[in-house]
Amino acid sequence: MSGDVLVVDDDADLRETLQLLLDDRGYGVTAVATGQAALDRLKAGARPSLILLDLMMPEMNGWQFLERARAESILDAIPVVIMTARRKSVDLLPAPSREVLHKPFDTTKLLSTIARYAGAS
Amino acid sequence: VLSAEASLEEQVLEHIAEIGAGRCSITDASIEAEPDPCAQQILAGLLMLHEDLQYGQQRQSALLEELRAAIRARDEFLSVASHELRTPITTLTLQVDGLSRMLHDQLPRPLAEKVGRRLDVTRRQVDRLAGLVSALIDVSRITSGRVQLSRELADLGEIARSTAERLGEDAARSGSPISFERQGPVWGNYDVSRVDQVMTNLLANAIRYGRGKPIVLGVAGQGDSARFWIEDQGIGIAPEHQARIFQQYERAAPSTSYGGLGLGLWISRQLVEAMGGTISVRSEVDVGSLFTVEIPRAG
Repeated sequence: MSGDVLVVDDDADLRETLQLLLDDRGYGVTAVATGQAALDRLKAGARPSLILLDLMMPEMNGWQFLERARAESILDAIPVVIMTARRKSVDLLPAPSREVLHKPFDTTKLLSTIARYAGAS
Repeated sequence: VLSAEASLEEQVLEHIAEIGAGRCSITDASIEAEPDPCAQQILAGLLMLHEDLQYGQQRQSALLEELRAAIRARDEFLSVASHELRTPITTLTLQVDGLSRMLHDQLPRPLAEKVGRRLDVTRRQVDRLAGLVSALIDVSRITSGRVQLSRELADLGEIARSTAERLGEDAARSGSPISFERQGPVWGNYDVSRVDQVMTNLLANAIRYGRGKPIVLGVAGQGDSARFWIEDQGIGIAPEHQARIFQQYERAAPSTSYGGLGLGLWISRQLVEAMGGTISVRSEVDVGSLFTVEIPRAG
């Protein structure tokens, strides 16, 4: 069985696209628009197999989310894949993030990355 | 004050030398104190000259600073704008992929073929958009000196083969099939994606300007260096344009007849030089062009 993926991205169309795609491939998908919403879910006990995280988001951005979640030791067991259009910011990637998907990525690249962390076991 | 010890001429020359060095010891008081009216006029003239020069210099540095700020703003805008474009392109790419998949899985064949052709066009246009956006990002990276190479052990022939394969469909559509020449593997430490990018730029030009004639992509190694070349039989480049085409925004073909940003060869040259290599062209109008790239294998 494939795992659950938590998608965090402020772009509604990209969120919808990822939800449709991952849903179609048998993943459980929850998609939220802000770092705060993601943090709330995790605090409420959600334990996805993978978090797919955008960096540039209003309110709580990806960096802040990572910092807060790490401070609460939530990310110790959950891998994070970052989706970003910027290359520079990635050098400063904080510790729990496992991988970076550079936009624009295609379906093959996305799915193979996700499968490494949340693929059928 | 023009003293009696030195001649008027000597003193004037001394003042001029001072003004030339950006200093001036003439003041309104020292002009007043000068008894000779003729010398007074000369001193007043020299003081005015000094003030004009100083004003000009200040104005010049202010303009220069404004110009630098404008260039910084332009580069920053280019960088932000091109990055902003990447998110919609990502969504589009994923949607087109999703539609293509649904199409073959779920639609009856005749309909699937029709819709599939439209989707193929959409896909190509999305790829083209993505290509244009990465050219803009490369410009902002190159102009701010942020090109970073990541080298790995690879066979140049293999990179060329896969690039030619990827562009094969475009080439065939324009009637310019790509034939591939190589003798054996050319191993080296290359930045694979950058080498691929340079080859892609050169091949895309050969396809665009190739007048539907065959294109050759060749690869060879010699000692410490590796070489690849792309030869077309297209419109060619006049000798007076051959140096210019490697500069930013320059193009030999008229923009009224041919599309493109005028950046491909400039980006290619910058990348090849970052790799420690060279790029050159030999061309004749109406006969064709031969672009040759030489890069070190060791890296």
